[in-house]
Amino acid sequence: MQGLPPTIAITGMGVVSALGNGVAAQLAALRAGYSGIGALRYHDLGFPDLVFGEVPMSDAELKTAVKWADAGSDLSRTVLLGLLAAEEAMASCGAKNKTGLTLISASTVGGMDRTEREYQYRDSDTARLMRAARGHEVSDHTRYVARSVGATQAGTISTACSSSANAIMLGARLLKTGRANAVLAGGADALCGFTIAGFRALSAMDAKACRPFSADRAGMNLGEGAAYVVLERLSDVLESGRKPLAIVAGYANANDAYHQTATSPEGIGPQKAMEGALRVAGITAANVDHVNAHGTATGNNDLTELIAMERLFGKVPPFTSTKSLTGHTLAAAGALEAVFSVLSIRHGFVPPTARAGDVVEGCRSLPVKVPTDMAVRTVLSNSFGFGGNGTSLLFSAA
Amino acid sequence: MELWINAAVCHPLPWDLGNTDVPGSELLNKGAARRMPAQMRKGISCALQALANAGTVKPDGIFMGTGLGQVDDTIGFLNEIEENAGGILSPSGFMRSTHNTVGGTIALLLTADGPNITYSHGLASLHWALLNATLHAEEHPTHNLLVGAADEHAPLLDALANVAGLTGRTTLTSGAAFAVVSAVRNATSLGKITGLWTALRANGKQWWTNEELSAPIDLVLFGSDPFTGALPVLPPHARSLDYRSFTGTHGSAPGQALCMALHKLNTGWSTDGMGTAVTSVLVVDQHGEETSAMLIER
Amino acid sequence: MAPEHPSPQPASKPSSRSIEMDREELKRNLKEQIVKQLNLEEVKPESIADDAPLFGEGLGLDSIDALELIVLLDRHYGIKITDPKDGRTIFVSVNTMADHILAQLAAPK
Repeated sequence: MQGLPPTIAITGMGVVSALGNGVAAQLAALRAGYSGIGALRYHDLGFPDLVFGEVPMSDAELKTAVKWADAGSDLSRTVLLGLLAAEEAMASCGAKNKTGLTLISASTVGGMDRTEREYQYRDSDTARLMRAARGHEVSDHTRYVARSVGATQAGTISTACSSSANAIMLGARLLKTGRANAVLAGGADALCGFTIAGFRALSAMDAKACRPFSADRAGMNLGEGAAYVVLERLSDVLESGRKPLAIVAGYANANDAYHQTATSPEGIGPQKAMEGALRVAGITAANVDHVNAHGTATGNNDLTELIAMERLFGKVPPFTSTKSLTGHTLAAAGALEAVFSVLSIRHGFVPPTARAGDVVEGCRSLPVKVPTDMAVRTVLSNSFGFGGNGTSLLFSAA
Repeated sequence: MELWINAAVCHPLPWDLGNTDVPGSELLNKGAARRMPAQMRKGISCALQALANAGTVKPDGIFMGTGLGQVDDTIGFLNEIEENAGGILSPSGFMRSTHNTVGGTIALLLTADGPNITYSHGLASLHWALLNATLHAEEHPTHNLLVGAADEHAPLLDALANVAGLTGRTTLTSGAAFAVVSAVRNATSLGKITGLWTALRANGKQWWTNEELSAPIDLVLFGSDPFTGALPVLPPHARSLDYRSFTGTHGSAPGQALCMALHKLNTGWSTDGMGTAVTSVLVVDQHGEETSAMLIER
Repeated sequence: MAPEHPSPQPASKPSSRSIEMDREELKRNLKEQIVKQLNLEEVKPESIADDAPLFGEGLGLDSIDALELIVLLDRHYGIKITDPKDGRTIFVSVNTMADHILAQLAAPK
């Protein structure tokens, strides 16, 4: 067995999304096919004509739910979401000794939700903007989470939609090469006016609840949330008498290099990412039981992702877009959907693609439309970002 | 670890601050550059020049760091929202405000379809990009990888620094630095990175193990915390120099310090405090509770 | 140099000669606005032929540019395009853009 890289296990998970607070809430919602997409209730941002995957908690409720006593006040919502999910992940991993922890987090919004509110005071009351802008960087939430979990090393990835999938990939490689002993990997993004205005300017959003992998899809719904997984070497986990939740078997990141916001029509980048993940895992496409797709419901993504999947698999295994339930949580999506993938494996079911209609033009595969019980041993999870920069992760049963 | 640096280009040049020429600007196709604001163009030009210096047509991977991302476009889109409230907004600035835009744009220019990751972790952004490049290079020893960092300046940042009481102690600037790296040495190699550290809650404490820095270091280029002025703990008996007196402060300044180190190792450049015979340079930054460092050797 | 908004539609039907002069001025303005909105720094507005394809060949614009042209029509002419796909026919060339603008401005409210 000399020379084989160590197997990487997931030992803890934490999550907050439009489906609720905590892993148990996600599981119940996924099994029921519950969609958390609707009008804004906890944000004072306007946009009454749009729908979102909003976390059903106010900032005050999030703050109350966070256990860490030193959290301070007036924190960005991104920080609060991150703290909440990180606490659950660490509490669930069962490790006695939590020193020597590396944190790899991810965000695209960072503290923009606060900066944008105070931007109007930049000339009249610069100090007021400065107080908000102290927390503007995408790495600010990482530092809070790092303090709360006692990490001794921390980094932040920001690659838009593939961010937290890349965090999990990096975490696995740090463990395999002995550069870390335990990794908390994931990400957090809150809804904010800047992002909503931006995606609307790109004509990327559906004013109604999205319909991924459907002929009549009309764009994405933005969401928010945070998710983290605790990663450890399987040998360390077993040695401490614990059981892993699942295995991170494969991962790959590839770039399409076709256009700044569109994937190539043939889905070259997505195919490379999926093939790369299978190669690292040492399995063939035929061994994949389920695909948790990127599935944003934009015209370009769903077509190119489906084309790539049909070319890779021939007969595509049961696939779904959970973004139909949570919205697109941007940097948190990769980790959020990693958690969903593990839940599929552990509970033997595939969550549905809500509101899915007729098959995508030029394709032949329909997504899973209702919650479906089935044995699931391997899940491929896709997170394809702006400009065809995409990451695929492969999870398998422990 | 051993990560060979086969080309390194930065702008501004810390050892020639009066030189305003942007390296590689003639390599950037004007049509392709039309969507890039001026500061973004400088970084991408440096990247193209580094690739040309290394003789690498298409990098096998791109790993970037940035502290604040594209500040011009972030401010631009905030203004766009303010000025056109309720109306149709121009999407280009928003599109460019995502932190991985520079890495993505370089990939587009070169149709580079390998891994492409951007780190944004303050003054440690480049360190994480270098670490990712190291992981990749270990798995693919024949690959040539582009690693870089870029940060922009804006008058608004100065106004914010002013009310935070930083004016006088910290000069905010912009800059970009790009390197072509691989696991193997070649004819264009300038030096190698033999150590990378990003340590939390190490302020006031030794953040390296004695095995990691067993040989004496000839020169330390350090940067203090921009807000508090706190210094990183430095290895004993090392000649040290505040590199920010050359580069100013921005999230990618460590990249310029890396170029200073390589320039020192490869030429006769000497300035007060630098000493002459130098075969190893440590670049180390303190920011908040974090200490980040890289060891560069001949 | 921000171009002015065109004058509000006249109360009576304009003569064909004044439509031609308006149309020429409109196309000149459009070319300047296109160069500015799309950041085509190296392109001289007068070098854009009236019937040259804007997308694909010709200027080689892409889907983001199409969105920027929608912004241009809204900002300079108060014309809204709600479905970006309509842009495929409207933005074929400066001629088709001018046609659309004149048709929209002449249309009864």
